[in-house]
Amino acid sequence: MQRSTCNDSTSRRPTGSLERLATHAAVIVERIEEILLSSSVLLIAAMTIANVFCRSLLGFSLAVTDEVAQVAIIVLCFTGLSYAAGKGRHIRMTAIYDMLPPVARKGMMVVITSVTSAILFALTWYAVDYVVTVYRLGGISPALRIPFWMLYAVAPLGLFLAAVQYALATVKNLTSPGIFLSFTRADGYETDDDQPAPAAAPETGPSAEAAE
Amino acid sequence: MTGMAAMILGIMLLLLLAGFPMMVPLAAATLAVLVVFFSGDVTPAIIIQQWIGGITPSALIAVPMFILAADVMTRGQAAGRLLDAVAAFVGHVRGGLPMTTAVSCALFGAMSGSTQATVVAIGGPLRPRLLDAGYSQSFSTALIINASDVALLIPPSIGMIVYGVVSGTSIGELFIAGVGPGLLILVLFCGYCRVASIGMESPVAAATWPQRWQALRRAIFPLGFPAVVMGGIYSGIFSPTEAAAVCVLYAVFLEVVIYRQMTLTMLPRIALSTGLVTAVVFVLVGAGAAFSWVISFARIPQALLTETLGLTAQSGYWPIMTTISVAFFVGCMFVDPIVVILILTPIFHPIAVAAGIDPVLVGVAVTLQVAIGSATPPFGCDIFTAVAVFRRPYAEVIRGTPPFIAMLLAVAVTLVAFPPLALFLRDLAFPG
Repeated sequence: MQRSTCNDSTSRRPTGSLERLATHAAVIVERIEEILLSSSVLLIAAMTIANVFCRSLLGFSLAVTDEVAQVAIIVLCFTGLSYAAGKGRHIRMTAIYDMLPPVARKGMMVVITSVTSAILFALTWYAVDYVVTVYRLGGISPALRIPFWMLYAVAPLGLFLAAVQYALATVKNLTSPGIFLSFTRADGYETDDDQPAPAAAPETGPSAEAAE
Repeated sequence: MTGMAAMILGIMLLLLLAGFPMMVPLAAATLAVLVVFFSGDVTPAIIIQQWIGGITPSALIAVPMFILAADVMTRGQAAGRLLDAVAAFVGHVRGGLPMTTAVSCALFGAMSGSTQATVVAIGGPLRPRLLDAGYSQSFSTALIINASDVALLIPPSIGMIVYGVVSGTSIGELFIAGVGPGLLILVLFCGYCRVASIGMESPVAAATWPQRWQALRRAIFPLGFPAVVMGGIYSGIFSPTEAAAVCVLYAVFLEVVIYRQMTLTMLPRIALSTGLVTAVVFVLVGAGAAFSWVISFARIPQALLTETLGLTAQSGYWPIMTTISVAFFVGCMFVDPIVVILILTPIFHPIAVAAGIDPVLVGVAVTLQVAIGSATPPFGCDIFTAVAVFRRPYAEVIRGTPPFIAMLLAVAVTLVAFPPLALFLRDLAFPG
């Protein structure tokens, strides 16, 4: 999944150094998100399994396992928010959208990605506000003894990256032919998640419509 | 009050129908209410607090764990072996192939927690076989999506976990109570498969008893999963979250140590897929929790129930259950089941409890309605999953659904009229 996306984004042979830099940054961010998602799930599994053994064999529960699992869930949720945005995987109700002609769908997609981006930027702002408030209150988590604001800081980060993802998708839709769910992912139905989107490269853009 | 309700409804419907990612209508409506109506009272930063609060209850940890266990099983051998065992017993009877499909979709759907994943993982390989055997496109597709939806009623159901967390109902009791209606639906579906197969040749010869015995032996370890989930929770050894953790351990042990087709180095990749599916659900859980908070802060549920619908705790059993059923059914015709459960449960659950209706019965009724609504035209989200996954036209996909919807609605009415369908097993497992 990760490799094909790299190919998608690099196959455009970006000309400007700024664009090349952005592409590299996007690939690095995506890789970090994948590592965080994967390790959060494995960490939750390790913690809950450890807790079962502890409770059934030793007769008491570990406070720390529950807390680590909760932190991992927060990381998972906000990292996944941005990662799923990049992959075009957030759930949408597309009954009406799918019936529109391609030109109208492209226009809709520009509106959808830009408004979504704006709302996520607003949420980022409020998330920063919330983390600052928590920082001022200064609580620490009971078992791990980590300040709460550090645990919650992943919220504005994930919201911000997701907002950037949708902003990039808007740019992509405005600058390339075809319809794009995200910077690297063309709109269209796929059966296999591991396959690159058929119309991800701009030169094959019009086939995004043919994909249905 | 009416202005606020109109604004929320307007924003939600507009953004939803326009095809925005579903967290956006929730977040936008929440933000709008806070900024327009309560700007002096509370900071909009409360959205983030409610979002984090919504995703961190301990019981929700079961969700990624059940999904992970299912991901390990479907990528390994366990899922295929279970399927073979079912096919060895019913594959040759008239309608055996669609019956196998129905049972497999329901079982794996229950584990994976994602109808979409089930449609792809189980429906994907079985659908060509149905078509080869002569079943129509619309029948095959409708069977797969509806059977995958029944999974919501069969433990471990992600929908029930979310309902349990939001309403404070025992998840273990919900799991047990879902079994009765779930089985009844599967029996009806299998009956319909038989009727639909009249006049068709049986595609495969009957398996011999030694072959069946061997298929069963090959599936003996995977058959341990229901034992772990139901037995563990039923006997009080595990909480649902612990049962989920044990499922993960068991799945990994089975695939890595017993079947030896999987190595531990493959786990991070499987976990990534689990993480993505979980995150998509939890983003909705978080945004839905914030939305739920703001509408109850604005006292909209009370206004909606008593002033608009005229519903009170004194309305009686049938009006309350009917209203709840219709609300969840209609909601799921538009929005993802998790979102509907998150938003509507806090509105309707208190009135049902106040009227003395068993919360477990309400939970099962709600889950059933959610399953039906998800596959009901025009907007049921599973219809679009099928359109997307199988690349078939919308009109063809919906043509096969009416018989399934009719069967599901019949079970829904039966459940409300005859609560022991759900509560009998619950009372057996949790006396008192």
